[in-house]
Amino acid sequence: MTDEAFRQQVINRRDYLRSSRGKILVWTAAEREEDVMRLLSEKTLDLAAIRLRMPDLALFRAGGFTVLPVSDRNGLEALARYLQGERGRAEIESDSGANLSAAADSGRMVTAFVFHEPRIESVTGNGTGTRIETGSEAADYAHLIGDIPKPYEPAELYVYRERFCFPFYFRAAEPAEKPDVGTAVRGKPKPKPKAVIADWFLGYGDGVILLPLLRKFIDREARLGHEVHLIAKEKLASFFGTFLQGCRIFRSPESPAVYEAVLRSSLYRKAILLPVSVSSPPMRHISGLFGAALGFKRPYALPEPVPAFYPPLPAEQAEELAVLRAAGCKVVGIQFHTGDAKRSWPEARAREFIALCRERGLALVNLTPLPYPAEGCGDWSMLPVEELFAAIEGLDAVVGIDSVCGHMAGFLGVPHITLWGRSFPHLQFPYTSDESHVSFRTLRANYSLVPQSADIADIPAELAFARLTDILEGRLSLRKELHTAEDTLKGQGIEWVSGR
Amino acid sequence: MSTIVYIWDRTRDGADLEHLRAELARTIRQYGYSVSAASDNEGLADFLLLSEAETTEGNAENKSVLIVTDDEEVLSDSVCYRSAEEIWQTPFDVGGIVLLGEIRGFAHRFTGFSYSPMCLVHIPSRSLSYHRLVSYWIHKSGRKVR
Repeated sequence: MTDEAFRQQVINRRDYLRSSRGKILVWTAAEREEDVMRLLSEKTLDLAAIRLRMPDLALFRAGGFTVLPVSDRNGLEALARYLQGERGRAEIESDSGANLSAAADSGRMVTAFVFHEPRIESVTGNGTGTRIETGSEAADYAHLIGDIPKPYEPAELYVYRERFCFPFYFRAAEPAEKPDVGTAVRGKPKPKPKAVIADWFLGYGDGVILLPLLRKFIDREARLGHEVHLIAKEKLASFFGTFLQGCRIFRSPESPAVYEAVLRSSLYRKAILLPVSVSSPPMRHISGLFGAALGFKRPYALPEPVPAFYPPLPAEQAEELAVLRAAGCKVVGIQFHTGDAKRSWPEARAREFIALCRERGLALVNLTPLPYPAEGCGDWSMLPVEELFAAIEGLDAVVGIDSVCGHMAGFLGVPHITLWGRSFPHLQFPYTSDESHVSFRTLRANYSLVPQSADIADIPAELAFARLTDILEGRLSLRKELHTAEDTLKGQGIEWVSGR
Repeated sequence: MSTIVYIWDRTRDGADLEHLRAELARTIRQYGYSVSAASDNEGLADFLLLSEAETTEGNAENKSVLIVTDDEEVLSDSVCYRSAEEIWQTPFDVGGIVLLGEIRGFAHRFTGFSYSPMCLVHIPSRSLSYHRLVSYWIHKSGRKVR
């Protein structure tokens, strides 16, 4: 895509967002705050809170925000009807209560919440399985907070019900509260918690690599008397919530405004943002980068898979697996698609691979959603990502793209092949100005097929099939030890593929 | 007990630390806290803004270092996974970085923090107000319950 075409796409996207999603500001007094949050949290958590000086409401109106006051029960009911789609934006704006009275415009401070008007279109999918991301929510949120007037900054974190958090904006140079700096040492109160932020860029695969590191970090901090608060986007928060006890986990919107809010928040003494890129050599494995950021001096210790650690395979899939085993089949998991087209193996290649496996009598189970039917494969794509651990543990091998199933196979030590696209095992985004010297290779038992072109379409189905049979028939044994950065740089377990 | 901030000049040609100290003191006072530049006022003022020469060993709990630099490397992702204390070799918390000069190499991205744990970076060429840095100190050292 040319630069001009890309720029036009960005402009179109911005214009679409501006025209399609109304921005709402609800302001309320302290005694109604909980009621308002209860209503809002049922509709969206992509919120920002604002400690608003009433004269500044005009700034928000000028920025395109529709204003809804909730000063009494009537206001609350109006908000509820609006959120249920029973009243439109125009009706709210025409409400006399939405216009500021002289009393309201007196310079007093109130709490306001900004959000996008609820989407009207229905959400597709049944809500289970591994969600394919479109990134539109993050783009919408960036648009929302980008329109908060400049005098306001995300200087605090707004925490709701100990589970959700979002940026809390204050007017710069106008602190609403004056903490007692003297008691910090005098009173010896309980230490403030430490925050760990999982960058919006992180996916489930990174989550798998992080699990043992976070476990170690939480345990270490507990010994020091520090509570750990883990802050992540919705899907990762849910994932971590299944596996990590002994810490608090907060769901947050995906935005750098969250980082700024956490950094500056009075709630935390220290905050760690897990890094994902290093633009200059030497190359590091992402596990080492995470570990260093969390303050571990030693190299990554290989996690020991503990079956009791993850949820069991549902009975239906367990039975399916048992039947295949009884028939003497080798069972191989596949993942060929993700939201990133450059990491997804083209449909034609995938179909060819599936056909080759069927001819050889291999049983395939498709582990994540595909945009086309995986004919001849068992369909386990509806499994929640947390249950994929148990699913993959029971397989003979996995063949897939650079994504979560490979990382789980690496975590569990199940032999697997990674079909690389867009990135190399030792370099992210080659041939672009965003090159990053971080390896996202799986932890162990990995064989990598890497197109020199960084185009995943260059990996022939026959090659992937040949290497799979090499593994299953013992001609290619894969390391059970950790793949170090040095191993990857030396090319161990890596086969380069030339172009078509 | 006072919160003590040592201001360390790590610029190549030397920076006007007195101007910086005055701006910081003015901003701290705007928040309603007392501030002093005299080390013998420890315990009397909420904040002490001291020079590098006055850096003392001992209890690090109420002491931090403000690094003043003109090297954009502080924003590089090659340091994003290392602690500011390790990079700047100090036993005290690094309470912030003041990055002088125009930002060139990192102009296109978010530049409000660096290191791990995160450390606030203030860039005067982008914002003359020291409010963000001072409110950060107050929040980190202060106690409030919400």
